[in-house]
Amino acid sequence: MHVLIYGCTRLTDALAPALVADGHDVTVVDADPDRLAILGRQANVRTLCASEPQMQDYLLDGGIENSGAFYALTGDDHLNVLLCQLASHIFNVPNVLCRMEDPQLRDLYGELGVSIFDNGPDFLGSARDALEE
Amino acid sequence: MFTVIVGCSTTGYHLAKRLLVEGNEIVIVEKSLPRCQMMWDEMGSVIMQGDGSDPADLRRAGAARADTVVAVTGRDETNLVVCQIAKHVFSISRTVAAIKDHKNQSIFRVLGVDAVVNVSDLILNSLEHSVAGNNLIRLTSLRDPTKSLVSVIVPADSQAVGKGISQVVDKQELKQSSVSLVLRGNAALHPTEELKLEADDEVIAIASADEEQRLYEMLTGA
Repeated sequence: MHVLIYGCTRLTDALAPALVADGHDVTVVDADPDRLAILGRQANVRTLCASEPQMQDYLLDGGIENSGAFYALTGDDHLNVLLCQLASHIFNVPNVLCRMEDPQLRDLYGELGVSIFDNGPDFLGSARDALEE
Repeated sequence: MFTVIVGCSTTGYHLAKRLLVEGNEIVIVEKSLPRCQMMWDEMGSVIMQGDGSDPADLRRAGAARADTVVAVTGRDETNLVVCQIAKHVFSISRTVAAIKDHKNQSIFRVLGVDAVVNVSDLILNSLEHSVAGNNLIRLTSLRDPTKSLVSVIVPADSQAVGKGISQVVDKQELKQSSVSLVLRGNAALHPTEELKLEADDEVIAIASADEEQRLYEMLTGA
């Protein structure tokens, strides 16, 4: 399955190689070329360096239309939730997970049907389980 | 009318001042303390320091009894969050968001933001208006993101001149578009069967994105 991850953070550093090990085809998009280079050396993933004004173009370049799963893992709650709703409602990605640090927004968007990325100690297990469903 | 404006950018500031002049009640929620301090001297207590994407701060600003919430923070993603909170936590009937990336327009509409204003579209429209005559101009986008209100000026050499709308615009081919009005001089004419198009008529139509080019060709083709 093709998995698109937006945001190259410490969560991505752990998750991307794990997904590759499970046999998934992973693309990571981020604005920071240095972080992407580090990840690219550690894991067999495709990386795309995005600049913010062309966000939706990078989603398309990253293959969102053919992705079985989309994860928004940037440190920016608002950006994550915009990306995830784009992925669900515009690009019809079946499996979408949104990283959300603000507990109030977490509750609100949970009610609105956005699946929240579990970034607790077992986040790898949860992310893998979500893909199985 | 009571309006909560989130973001005291230049846009937010001027919007607030005009709403106040018209006698409306407003509160501006601005995150940056230095920005607030600058504004307090002039505008006083209508400016509240707080995070408009935090439901508790919006509640303090009076969002629970607001008629309208306007999100003009300068970031599309934050404006979306503000409008979604306004809709779902405070049941605001009218939410307005400014966006920078026009590609975000459809997701804002899908998610129920009532009015989406996009500066680059506004500039583009006025540029197109200033180009002489023969253009299809998008006047405004509609709630249905696939349709917009467009204007086409009938050129003198068009085969449409002297014909009725139904002869020119093939309803079989353009199923999702329809001519609404014909502007001639100072008059606004209904597109009745009897009405024959003349050169320089401005045709106002609802057009779907896939059909507008064809509509343009039908009205202007020689």
